[in-house]
Amino acid sequence: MLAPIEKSIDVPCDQKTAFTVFVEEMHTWWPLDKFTMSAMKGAPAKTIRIEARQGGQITEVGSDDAEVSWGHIETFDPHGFVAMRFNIPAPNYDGDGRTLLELTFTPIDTGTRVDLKQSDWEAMGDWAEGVHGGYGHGWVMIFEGGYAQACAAKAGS
Amino acid sequence: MTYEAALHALADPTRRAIFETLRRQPSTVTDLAKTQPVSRPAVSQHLKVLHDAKLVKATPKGSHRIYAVRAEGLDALRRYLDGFWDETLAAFGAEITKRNRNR
Repeated sequence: MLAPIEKSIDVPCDQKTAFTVFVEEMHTWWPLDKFTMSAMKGAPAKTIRIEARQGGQITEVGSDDAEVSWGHIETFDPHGFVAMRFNIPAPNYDGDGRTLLELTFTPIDTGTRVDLKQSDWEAMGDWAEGVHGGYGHGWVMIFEGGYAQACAAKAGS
Repeated sequence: MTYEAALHALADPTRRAIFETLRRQPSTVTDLAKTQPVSRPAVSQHLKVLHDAKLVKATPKGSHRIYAVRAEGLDALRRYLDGFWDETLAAFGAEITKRNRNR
């Protein structure tokens, strides 16, 4: 088992807003110029389209209008939880392995805590063989080594 | 070094195979060539790229050089990947703050 990535952020808004902005309005804040396949090929993506429902597709629309799937929504439970099968493909990679991305939205005094967990790296399978973007095998190596250590260090701090 | 150098070095399947082999077992060029489906000069060339990206190191031993993985060579790559969600969540937080201001 490769260690999952776990991250949290507290945002100053109610649970419903946090959920809606994150899940349904992802295009308003996702770094389109950085973490998209279009960006990897040199130009920011135009948008990200999400069908906010169980089974809904997550689709990047590239600078050239090319559409690429990032996965789909596996569990849609507004406004507390959403699980996606998620992976941003790299150029020239046509595999369909998807990690499990789980987001939990919890009301707190100051607003909402968003907990993010990305796991099931094994689902990526032979992604390393097909990837040309370069980070395929890197991720597996990183998450075997680096994240296990980082998570352990964090757990101890 | 930059993470791009490491990404580039590991983008090639043969180099990844060599890197993976060295992760398991430090090795000479000659021994490496026996385990890879490419010629010895090709292995040397791939090792040079991995070495330039600071992903592997070479230690002289007698008349040979033993190649091994440099664990710290992956740090830049690790930082990049670790930064992915940090940066993405920060962008989300900034959007919420912006909306609050505009309200």
